Amino acid sequence: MPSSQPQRPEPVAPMSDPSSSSSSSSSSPSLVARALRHRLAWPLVTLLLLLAVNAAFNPSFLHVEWRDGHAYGSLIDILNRAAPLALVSLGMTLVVATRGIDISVGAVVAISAAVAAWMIGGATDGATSRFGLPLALGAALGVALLCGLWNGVLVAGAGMQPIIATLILMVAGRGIAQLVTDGQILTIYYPPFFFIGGGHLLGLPFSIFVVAGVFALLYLAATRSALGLFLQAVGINPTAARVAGIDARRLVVGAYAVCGLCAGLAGLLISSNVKSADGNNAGQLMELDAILAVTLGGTLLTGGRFSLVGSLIGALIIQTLTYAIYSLGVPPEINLVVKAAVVFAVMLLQSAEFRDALRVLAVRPTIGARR
Amino acid sequence: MTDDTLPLTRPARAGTAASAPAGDASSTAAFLRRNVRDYGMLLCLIAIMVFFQVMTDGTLMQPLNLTNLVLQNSYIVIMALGMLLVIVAGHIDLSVGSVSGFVGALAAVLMVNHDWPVLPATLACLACGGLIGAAQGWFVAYFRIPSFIVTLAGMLVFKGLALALLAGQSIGPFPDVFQRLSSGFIPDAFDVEGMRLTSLLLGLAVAAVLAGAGWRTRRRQRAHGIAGEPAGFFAAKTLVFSALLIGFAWMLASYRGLPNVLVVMALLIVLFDFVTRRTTIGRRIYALGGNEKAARLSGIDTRRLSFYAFVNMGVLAALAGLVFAARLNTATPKAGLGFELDVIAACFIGGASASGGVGKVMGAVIGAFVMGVMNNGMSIMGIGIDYQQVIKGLVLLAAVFIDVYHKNR
Amino acid sequence: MARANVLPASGPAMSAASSASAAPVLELAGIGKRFGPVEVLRDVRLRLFPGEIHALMGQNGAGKSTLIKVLTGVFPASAGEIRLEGRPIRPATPVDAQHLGISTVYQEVNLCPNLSVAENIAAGRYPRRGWAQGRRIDWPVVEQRARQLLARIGLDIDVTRPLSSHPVAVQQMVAIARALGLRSKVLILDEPTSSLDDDEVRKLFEVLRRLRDDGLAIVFVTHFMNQVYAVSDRITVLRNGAWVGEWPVAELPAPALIAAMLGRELAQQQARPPSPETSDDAAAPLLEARALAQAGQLQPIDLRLRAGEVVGLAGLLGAGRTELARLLFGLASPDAGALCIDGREVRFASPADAIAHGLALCPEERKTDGIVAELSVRENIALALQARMGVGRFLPPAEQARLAEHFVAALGIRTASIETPIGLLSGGNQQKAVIARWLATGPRLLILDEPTRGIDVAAKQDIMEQILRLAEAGMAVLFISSEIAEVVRVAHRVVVLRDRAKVGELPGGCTEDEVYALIAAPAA
Repeated sequence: MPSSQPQRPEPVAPMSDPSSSSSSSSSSPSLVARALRHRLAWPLVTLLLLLAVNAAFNPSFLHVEWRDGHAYGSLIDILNRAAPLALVSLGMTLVVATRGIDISVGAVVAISAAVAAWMIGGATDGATSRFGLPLALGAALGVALLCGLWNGVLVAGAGMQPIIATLILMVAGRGIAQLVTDGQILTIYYPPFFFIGGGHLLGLPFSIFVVAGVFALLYLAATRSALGLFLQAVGINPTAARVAGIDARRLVVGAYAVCGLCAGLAGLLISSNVKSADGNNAGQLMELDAILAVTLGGTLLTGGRFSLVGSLIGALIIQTLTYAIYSLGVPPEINLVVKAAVVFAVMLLQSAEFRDALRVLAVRPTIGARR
Repeated sequence: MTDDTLPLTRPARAGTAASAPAGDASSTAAFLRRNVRDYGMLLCLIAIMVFFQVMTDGTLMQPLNLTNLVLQNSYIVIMALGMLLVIVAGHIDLSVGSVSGFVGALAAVLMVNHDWPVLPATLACLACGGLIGAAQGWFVAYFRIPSFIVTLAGMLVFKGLALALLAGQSIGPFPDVFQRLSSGFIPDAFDVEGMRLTSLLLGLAVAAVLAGAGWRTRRRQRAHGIAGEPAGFFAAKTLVFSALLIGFAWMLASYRGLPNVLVVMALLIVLFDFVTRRTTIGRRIYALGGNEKAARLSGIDTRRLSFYAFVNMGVLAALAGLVFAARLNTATPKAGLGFELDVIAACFIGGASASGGVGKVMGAVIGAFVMGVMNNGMSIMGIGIDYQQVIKGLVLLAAVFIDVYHKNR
Repeated sequence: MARANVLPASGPAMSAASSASAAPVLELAGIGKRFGPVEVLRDVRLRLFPGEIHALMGQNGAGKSTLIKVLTGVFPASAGEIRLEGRPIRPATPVDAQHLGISTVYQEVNLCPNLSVAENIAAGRYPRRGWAQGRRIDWPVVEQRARQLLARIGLDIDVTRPLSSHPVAVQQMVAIARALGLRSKVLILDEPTSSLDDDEVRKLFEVLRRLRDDGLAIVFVTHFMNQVYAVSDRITVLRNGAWVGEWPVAELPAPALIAAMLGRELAQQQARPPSPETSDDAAAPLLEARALAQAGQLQPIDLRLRAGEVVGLAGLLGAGRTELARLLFGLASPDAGALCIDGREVRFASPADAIAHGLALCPEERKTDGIVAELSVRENIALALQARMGVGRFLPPAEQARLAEHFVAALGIRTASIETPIGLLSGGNQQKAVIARWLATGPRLLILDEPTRGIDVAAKQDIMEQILRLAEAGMAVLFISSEIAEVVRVAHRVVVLRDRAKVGELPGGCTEDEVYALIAAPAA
């Protein structure tokens, strides 16, 4: 649908690209001004603000203590809870870079969790797994990868619009997840599985390492191979990319496949954490959170330049926001409203028409004031 | 320069078919082939109904079941009417489920908790739906924020607000008058045992009116020199439709008569079919969806049209929410979950195009009934909800595939 | 060789087919248009009489489309006056112009493809019936009116089918019928024949003649010379935003027309027969196209290129040069003929295939096909080379930087740094960067489509020298340009195209006049 494709914004003043993390080399007045122009500046500032708000309301918020060889504290909690969302956001970033969207990630999370839970089986003695753990994990990830490939083929091969193509899996995916779990909530009693989402390594939750690992992989792929360059080229100007000899189709399929894989991994983290797989509720509304994280991190929905670091920060922002809402005692329903409001605000600021309207409002008072 | 290639040697341009209005077999076949997409959906629906009739050992077409079918799927049809306009205008609305749940909750709070009389409460709820649609439409039309973002956010907001409004509980029961919106039947003037004559007569009357209207249209077409459908086809079609309609009315009449909500649905269908086919504003929405630039250059205020489409959607979602709440006789926090997918699927199955500008009201209605019959049939057969979801997804896929195929031909 | 002043004086002579009234139905006088400091139109005039087909001609940038936009209300003129039937008008929007009676049919048919033919023709003005509140659209009347209007132009089609189900030629007819339905007094056709084949063009012209005989005034904007002479009564020529002249078609033979459009006088001389191809080399040519054709876009064309050879592709706007380039590079698929590289037949499914065979194309439209606006100059330059190397073998940023710096220096690209987003560079520098991108791949055959458009004189010189140097080093170059002077100066051979077909070849060192003569020669 033509109108659901976002308008391209005008090219903005030069900013450094994501492959060089330090700020641009042009001579500028002050360090602060330069730092603020960095594309990650505003996300970071937002995150710090939220942390400050949390700390203000909760004195022990920033407190991290070491107990039983593990680190404990609100910050650790946030990092742990944000891990699945961070994974999904990383995958979503690649898809958005190609001017696409994937609203089926929630369903894929549920499917992956369901497959893993089923393969492990519900033996209550917790001693055995129906299939080997590696096999179970592999199967879950494999199915998630298939889901991603399915989406990619529909978009790049059949030429469907991304929102429609991924809507199909969103509809059918929950059903598939329910099929695997036979409509039940499968409980897992197999301790080695719990390590993924609930275990600790070097005192920190293992999930953080999973995210770090995936991030490192994607970051390296984006900066140490031509993938990053090609993805951006395809997202900004698919025609020019094709003329330059880039195989846009395979790239797009790959982006959706990676997105599916990340969602699958997130599903494993979640089910490992809650020790069960709920085909209906797992990953509920995760797609919106992921889109929000990606846009908060500075990647535009119109495609092109993307920032993996930004998406991570975006995921942290969302999690910190949720934490703040809970600790303030706001009912959970309002959480949804606040999140939606934040989406709105971000999208409004990205809308050229809105910025124009604001500019008009901002200019008029000064003209009056000058008199 | 597009890459559309024209053959180097082109055959002579194909003349119009059936310039003579004779109804010989070949022209009927040609006519059918050309309008395959229009009638195809209807044939699909009939085929699906026959399929499930067989698979359920005849339970599907039982009067009781047919009545339930209508009652259970009314909200999908109502919302599909609005969603069709939104999709034709080139947008999408993912919030309809949450909005209908929210409005149902609002109705419960007003009528049950605060004892509002039914009529003011209903009007307030419909107005609320319109306001919600207006807010979303404003962002989409005037700030050009992609509709799926705005409505995805709207989905969240109203899900949360519904939860907040209900404080997590279910509120009910509703006043009797309100319940009758969804579970009531039209009153019967006669008192014949086992058959609600009024309903049957109403069905007969409707069939007669439709046949008469079709006849008049055909006569006018001939008067203006337009061939129209081959005579044999027209006669057959009118007969078949009338038979189906009367049969349907008979089935319903032999149980408890025509449900109120069916009357409401029928009125809305007629209204929207009229608007989309015979009014300027309706045709302008199609122009907007087909080529926004051309529409704008023709002086159409495309932003206002998009805005109206969303307002309309909001009102219809509110109505659907009321219907749903009345049927369950309570407002629950879970109301509205997943409605949007059914509604969108109904529109696409009915032939709407993802790129906008294409789609018929009758198609969306048929699509909604296809979904409904599938839901109903699969439930009777005892197929699990999970399989149902998968099958629904596959049907949606097929519908979109056909659309993409047509476009790329 | 006698040199005659071939630009006849333009005068107020009217076409023989004009109606009894001697007053023009549309008169533009002193039209000027500026966008900021840039003056796009300067003192342009146009006179249109009822019952004539008036061709508006000019090269790229002459101001034709701006004039049409002023006339159709897309934007107002900065100066001058438009008079319709003697009354001054100022159309503020396209709808305004339509209401006034000026209708336009565009090259990309600007109708709604999803609506039926009848509905498009009705153009939002639906006949109604029913009681006062009814206001229902009366479809039978809509359809009948559509059929009547189509009958006026001799078309008999199913008006209930969606517009998109009919071919482009028919869609254009529908657009014309719609204009008739709006009771237009002036019909403007903007490049209507670009997507039509010969049959359809002929049918279109029949329609136009019929409408002209009915008294309609038609403005026909085109760059196909044959068509101008086939159907128009008078010609107005624009050049660089200024009015050059207005002539009855009989008084402006082709050489004179070209001279008017390009601003130079042609030596009146015999057209030299095309010289035979010098095949002194027995080896297979690097690239050979045999009867390569694309339906509706290009007639069968033969072309040969050798290593170290610079072949110029000359022709006027719309001659088919870019279409040929796209066929050679795999951006479009040929419908007939064969393409051979080093003597072996190949089929390019995509540009990546062509690049793998050592071809490179610097496209004409750098904004849509060339630059990736938000990426840096460095990334843009490295893009094609990286694409050929694949995803695995990566050019680290340092390497890319070195590559970019090299070309920035070599081609004189003016940019604050190689990290600047390329979208911020001026057009000329963007062009140089795209050329650099392709040079970086070290191709065997480089196709340059209008590489010097929008580049300053000094830079043009640079590029021309680069091209010669590349050829000396063994690269084959296909050089497409609208500036014939450049082409003849640098090419070993000049292939001349006109109206989507090859009309001949000339050896390098030929004069511009010879090329123009070849273009102007009547079709065989």
